[in-house]
Amino acid sequence: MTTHANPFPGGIHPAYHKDLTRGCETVSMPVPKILVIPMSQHLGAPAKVLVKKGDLVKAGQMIAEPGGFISAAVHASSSGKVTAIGPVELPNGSMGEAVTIETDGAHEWEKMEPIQNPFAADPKVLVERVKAAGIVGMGGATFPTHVKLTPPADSPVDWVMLNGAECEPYLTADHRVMLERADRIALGVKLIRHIMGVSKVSIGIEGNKADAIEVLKKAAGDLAEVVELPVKYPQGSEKQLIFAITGRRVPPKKLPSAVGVTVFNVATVVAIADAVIDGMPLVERVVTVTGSGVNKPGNFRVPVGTRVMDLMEFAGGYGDDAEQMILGGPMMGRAAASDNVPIIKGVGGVLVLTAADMKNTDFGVCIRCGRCLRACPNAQNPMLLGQLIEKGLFSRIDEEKLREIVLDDCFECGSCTFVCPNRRPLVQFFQMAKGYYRSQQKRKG
Amino acid sequence: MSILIPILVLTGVGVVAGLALAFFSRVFYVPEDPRVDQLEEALPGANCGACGFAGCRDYAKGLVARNGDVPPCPVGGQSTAEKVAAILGIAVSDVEEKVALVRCAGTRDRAAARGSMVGVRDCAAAALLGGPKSCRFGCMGLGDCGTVCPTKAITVYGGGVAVVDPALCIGCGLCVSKCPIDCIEMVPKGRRVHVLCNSRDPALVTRAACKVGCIACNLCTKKDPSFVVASNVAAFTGTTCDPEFCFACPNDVIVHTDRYEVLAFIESEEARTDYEAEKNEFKEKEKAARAAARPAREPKNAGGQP
Amino acid sequence: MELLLLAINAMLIGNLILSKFLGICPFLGVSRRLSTALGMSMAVLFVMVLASTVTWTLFYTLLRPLHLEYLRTILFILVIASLVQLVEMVMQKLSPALYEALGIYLPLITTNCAILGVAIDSIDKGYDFLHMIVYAFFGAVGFALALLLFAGIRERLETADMPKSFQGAASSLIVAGILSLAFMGFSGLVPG
Repeated sequence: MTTHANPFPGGIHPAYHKDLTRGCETVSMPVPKILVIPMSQHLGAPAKVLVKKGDLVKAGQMIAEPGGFISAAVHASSSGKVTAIGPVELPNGSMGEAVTIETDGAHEWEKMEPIQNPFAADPKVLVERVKAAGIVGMGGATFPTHVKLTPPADSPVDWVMLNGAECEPYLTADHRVMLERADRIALGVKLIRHIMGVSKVSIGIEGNKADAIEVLKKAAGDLAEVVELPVKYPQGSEKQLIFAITGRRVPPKKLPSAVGVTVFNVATVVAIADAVIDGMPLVERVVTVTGSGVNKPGNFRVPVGTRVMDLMEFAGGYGDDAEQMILGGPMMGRAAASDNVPIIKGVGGVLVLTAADMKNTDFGVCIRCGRCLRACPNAQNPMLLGQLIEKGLFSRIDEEKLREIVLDDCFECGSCTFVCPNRRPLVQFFQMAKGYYRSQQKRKG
Repeated sequence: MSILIPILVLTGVGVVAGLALAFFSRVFYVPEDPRVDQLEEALPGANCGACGFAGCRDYAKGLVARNGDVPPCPVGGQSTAEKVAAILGIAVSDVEEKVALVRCAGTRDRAAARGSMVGVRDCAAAALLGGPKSCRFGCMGLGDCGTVCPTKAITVYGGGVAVVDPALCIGCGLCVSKCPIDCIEMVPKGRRVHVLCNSRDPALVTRAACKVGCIACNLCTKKDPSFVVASNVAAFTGTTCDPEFCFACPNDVIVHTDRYEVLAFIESEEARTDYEAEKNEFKEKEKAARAAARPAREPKNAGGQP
Repeated sequence: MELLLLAINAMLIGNLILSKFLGICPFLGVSRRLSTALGMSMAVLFVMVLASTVTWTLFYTLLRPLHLEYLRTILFILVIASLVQLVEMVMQKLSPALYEALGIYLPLITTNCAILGVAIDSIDKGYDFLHMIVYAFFGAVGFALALLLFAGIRERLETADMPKSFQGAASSLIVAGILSLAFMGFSGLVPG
């Protein structure tokens, strides 16, 4: 496999700041007193609550079942008593239903039965297990994994890809997972090969994680090919990763299975192996807590539903000059107004920035330098679209066309905003346009 | 003599053209309802599009095509509806003239802030992250509604809450569709009592977020059945009520516009102190009335015991 | 070859709007949206060919034999105006769809000087029937080209941030001037 000097068109080279936590071994966080477990931790319909207020639950017990075809189950992360079921603030700022559990500290498990000799088992049984374990894509998009494992019959998958690019600056959670759980990843690859019946598996890792490449090469053997990718943001985006490794282009609005590829995050693969071998549902994930506003940056294994404030306390608290908190990476994460939000399956990082990190956010007019055109990985025209949206001229552009560009193509990587010399918040404009169209659709019914 | 030739030619061509036009206008006559023109005349001509049609003429065509079975012109109000009904020869349906009302009194000093906002300063952007206030239903005060208002009737004042000037509002409803959190409502122009809160959160959440939030305590509904509480927020459905009923509200979210303009009620210090004084007075009076009512009950009880 | 040169001349070098400055009214009036500019262009194309044909025939069958060439301006205005009215009526009856698309622009063309200009120009230049048709057709195509270019630029201009005093008509006129300068550049295209 050759990799090109330019793995995909567009993209940027931000300062990575990964040295803060690169060397920090993952530390398991003790179960906090309160767990807030949202029902909507995945793409698709929210899960349906199975417990009542006052119920006693055990760690690993399913507390909500999938609410539709594209949905995922939710499990209790520790044992305790359900104290409330109701709306709470989610990491993306919206409100959603959640089950609040007051933990008892015993952390009593109720795991599923491990599947003996999985490689002789029917793949359907394994997919059912993944579904029962509530596994979703842990790279951030949180697409339910059991749906990905069963591609539609009209677009068979011949190439499976593991995403270890971790192109977001600051974050090192996936890096640590690859270093510390390489054997589990190899096992997971074997399971995926068995479930999906594919022979071609590639693990894409950016060149700035040389140690992970080495470890995985050793662990994977001939199960999978480890591809070293040139460092470039947003390589961790599915479509960009697929193009960088296979040269196949996923058409707009289509899933990767349209070109015969499926991509899993490395952490997701570990979760699949855990669910099948140990019967362990997805109740914890590795989170990088980092940034110059954190006293003790590091990588932590955190129970799903831990409130950010508890995690921050475990990470030594905020620095004196902490100013802004972002859940996720600095490029695609969302600014959080409160630390009273839970860590959910898709949150891989908590980034606390100081005033010194935050650049001036005043923005000026577009000077038509065209840098955003070169940076856009989708070959769109962020400057013109940004101007139209800023002036509220939605009706000016052919509505269908704008929707196609903005809603279906733009995945909000933020490259355009990053390169803009006049600090224009282009990606924020696109998020606004998406919100606008969503509300239009809602009003139409 | 030669002067006659050009005159004849010109007249001839003119007559031919005229005849041709007259002939073709007969042959190719396309009947168009004359009522469309009359209707267009009767409409306000603002071409605001609030009716859902692409301007007044389009609305007139729609009226004729469906024989008046379209929503009434929100701008013209009763007088236009009467004219339209007269032209179409149908019965007048009652239309109320409406004005926009921003249902929030949660100025900066009354509603808690969630965090400081940087970047795009605009309601649509703020709504994506849940808004700058801890109350998710309150006016964010970034003025998207003011930018779409054709008559500049909406202003965001010092307190950070948008207020509609009912004198300028033409009732087109553009602000209602613009507001990302549905904080603006169209209310009948004659309504004198408003509940200035939009919080559909439960009482505890509302109280934590804002000093002037409706907690759906139902005290007002006991005073006057025109108040209704639905999805955790009260609303007034009548036209007017005894101004004293407004003082029943423990969180001061009900305004009677005979006493205070909405703007003054939200923004002005004096109106607030005035209101406090009046409210206290009312409470004293009520207490006295209760005190007066109590001894009246005792003899009744006494009389009941033989 | 000669017809090709004539076409290029009518379309680019002697562009009605940008070098002869005819039809400035619709050029500024209906160039706010690309879609309306397209409708106007199509209507002009249709009427220009038709009007030129009729006026050319009228001139060589009526005015020339009677030595009344000096009457042509007033006569042409009369004829074009009634012709446009006529076309509008026929169109409304026979093809409501086309009427919806072009109808609102037709009354605007009645007094459009570009139509009259082409009619008179093709007589001044002594074109025969074929040359006249080519001249009228490509003159209208040139009109459409200038109008569409201008509408496209104006749509973009609306998104641009500029000082208040330049917004709207001021910047449009500046752009029109620059476009005109650019079209002057075509004058070297055909020798002579």
